[in-house]
Amino acid sequence: MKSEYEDSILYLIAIILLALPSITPLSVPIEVSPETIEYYDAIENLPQDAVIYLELYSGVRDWFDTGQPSVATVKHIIRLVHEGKIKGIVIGTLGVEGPVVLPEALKVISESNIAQELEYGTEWCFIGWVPGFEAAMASMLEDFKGTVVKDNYGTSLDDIPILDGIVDLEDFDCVIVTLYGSLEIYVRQWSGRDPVFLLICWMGHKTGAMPYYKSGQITAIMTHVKQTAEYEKLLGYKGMSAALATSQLIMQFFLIAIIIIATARYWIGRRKEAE
Amino acid sequence: MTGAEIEAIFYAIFICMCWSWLYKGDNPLYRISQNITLGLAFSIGFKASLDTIITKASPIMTGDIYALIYTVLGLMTLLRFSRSTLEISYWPLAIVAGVGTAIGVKGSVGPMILTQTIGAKWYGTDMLSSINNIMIWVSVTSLIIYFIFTVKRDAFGGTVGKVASIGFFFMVIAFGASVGSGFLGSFTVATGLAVYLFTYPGYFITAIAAIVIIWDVYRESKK
Repeated sequence: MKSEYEDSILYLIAIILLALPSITPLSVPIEVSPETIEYYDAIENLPQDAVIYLELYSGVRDWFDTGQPSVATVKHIIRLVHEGKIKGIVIGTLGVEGPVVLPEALKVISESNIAQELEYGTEWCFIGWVPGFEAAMASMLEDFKGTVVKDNYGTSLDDIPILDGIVDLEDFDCVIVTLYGSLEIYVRQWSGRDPVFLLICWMGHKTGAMPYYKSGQITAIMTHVKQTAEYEKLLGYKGMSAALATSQLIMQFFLIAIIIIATARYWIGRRKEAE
Repeated sequence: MTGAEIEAIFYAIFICMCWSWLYKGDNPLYRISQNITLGLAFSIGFKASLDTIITKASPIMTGDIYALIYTVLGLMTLLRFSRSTLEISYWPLAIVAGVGTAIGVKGSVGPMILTQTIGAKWYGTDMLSSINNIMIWVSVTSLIIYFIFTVKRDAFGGTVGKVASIGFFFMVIAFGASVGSGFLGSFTVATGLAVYLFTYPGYFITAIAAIVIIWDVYRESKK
């Protein structure tokens, strides 16, 4: 075999292994971790008639990373609204790539079926993209309706019942941030305030978020794939994350196998040269 | 054929075009998909920005006289295209930079500095969290010493250098964990996309791509 094809063959095997669990479900057992229970309980134990603000900043490439936990979170909130525990949810996006990631927010909204499950205006509201990023965040903290003014469909926020009594961001009972860009900006502006602050991010961000989690500025963190699969198990439905978690597991074994084979081949080659 | 099926076929075609890089490196199909992606991202962003300006920032549409100030400042930035009016365009940029810095600094002191020092304890609720807290103290202290370059490493009988190397050790572990986590996240994207190649109707495109690759390998082997 020509050496120029070796890389391509490895990529091909990797692609097939990645897709395999989605085609033939392998049912790897999922054990729910304490971090997932903490995130679940943080939403479950919100006060009666709580209003949640969900910041959907999923990047264009992050549908499978942060999009899935966002969908699961919205489904959880929908269930609580139906049970009468929560008043509703306000969804928005402040991302600096706002105009490009806005379709991703709409994807979460459609995938979670919120438009069919909840009544717009009284149980949920979509404010769309709010331009300004950090300046908009700081402004929402002082005057929410003054910053946003209208929802995504042109209705004045004063005419939307779910936002009655909401003057600034601290009037929300919970703020959930789906992170794609810089964590520090959200921490600087929104964490450590009255609302419960929850974070949805991918694993790379979790390591950076740990100092803020340890100090109590972030109440709970939800990461993609494995933790979302656990969350979906707690919610009682099987989403895409269960298949993604199995794929990730297979991929990790494949990578470990490649590393072991390549290292062994290298040392055997060196020994032969020495002989 | 339904709209969803046509969409899935386009996904599979674009994924194959993007991933053709894995087989042939930089090639025309990869460049086409790259340019389409960039063009689409730019056009969506441009359209959404224009909609936002018209509906939320335009003085006429919002009825807000203060929006006139934002509009004027925004238009002033366009003056940078002419050499004679270039300096006027610095004013709105200066306002944006100043406001942005002030907002950032305002939020930095409390959440990012003071709260972190309050949160740090020597002890925890159990043995593991106590060890964890001690490691945090050791790593923070040693890393701060690592980044002090005004004291030589062999000062105090080489103690500074040894403590700094402990900090370096922690820093490397932290970077490795962060990069490894990011790498894992990238696989998630590949996993989600790979599904489109092996489910209906994407597997038709995959079969065509596989035939093309096999033919190309055969053709190359004949050379």
